[in-house]
Amino acid sequence: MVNHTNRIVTGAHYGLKDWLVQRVTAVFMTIYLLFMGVTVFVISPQDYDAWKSVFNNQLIRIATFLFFVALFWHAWIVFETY
Amino acid sequence: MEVNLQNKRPKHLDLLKIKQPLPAVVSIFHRISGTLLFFPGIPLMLYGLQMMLNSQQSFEALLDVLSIPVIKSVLLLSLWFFLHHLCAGIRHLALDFHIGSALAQARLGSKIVLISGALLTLLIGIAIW
Repeated sequence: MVNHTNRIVTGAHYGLKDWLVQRVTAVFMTIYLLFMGVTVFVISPQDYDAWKSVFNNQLIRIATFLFFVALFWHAWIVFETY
Repeated sequence: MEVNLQNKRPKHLDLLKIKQPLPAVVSIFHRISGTLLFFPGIPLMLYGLQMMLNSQQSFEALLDVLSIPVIKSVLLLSLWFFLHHLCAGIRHLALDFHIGSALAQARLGSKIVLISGALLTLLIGIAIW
């Protein structure tokens, strides 16, 4: 987020963090979705219990939580830019 | 007397008449798809996840809803928006590394993005229908 106190006219790099976060979150979400795609393809859960057990995995829970953090952060930067 | 200037040039920016270059089409569609994926995309995805994992009954209710052809088509359209957003985003990352930023390559790149987005949607669509 842009800090409005002590503004510098040039070379302030205000946008650098947003620029970087936009890309890091994008890469993370892509990796997550590829990972989930492969997982679902390999396990191929057919019923409720199978899906439930996929999301009972602690690693998948943490990754899914981080995915949504990345998703909201990714979207927030766009709104902030306008 | 009036000098006959290049009269065929449009006097106004008529959005229905001007033809955007391909990279511009990819770019505006990147924004539109991103907006739609945010809303209504995120709420619908969260609601779907909740239905899928809440209970046996809600899971079956979700399957029933997803088997309706209209809903399936909307889902496929959303998938296309997402895949286009993904492909355009990957192109963006390539451009950050100065890959394909010259005019000819930029046009080729946007063509690849448009085609691969549609093609991936078609393939996944066939797989899940």
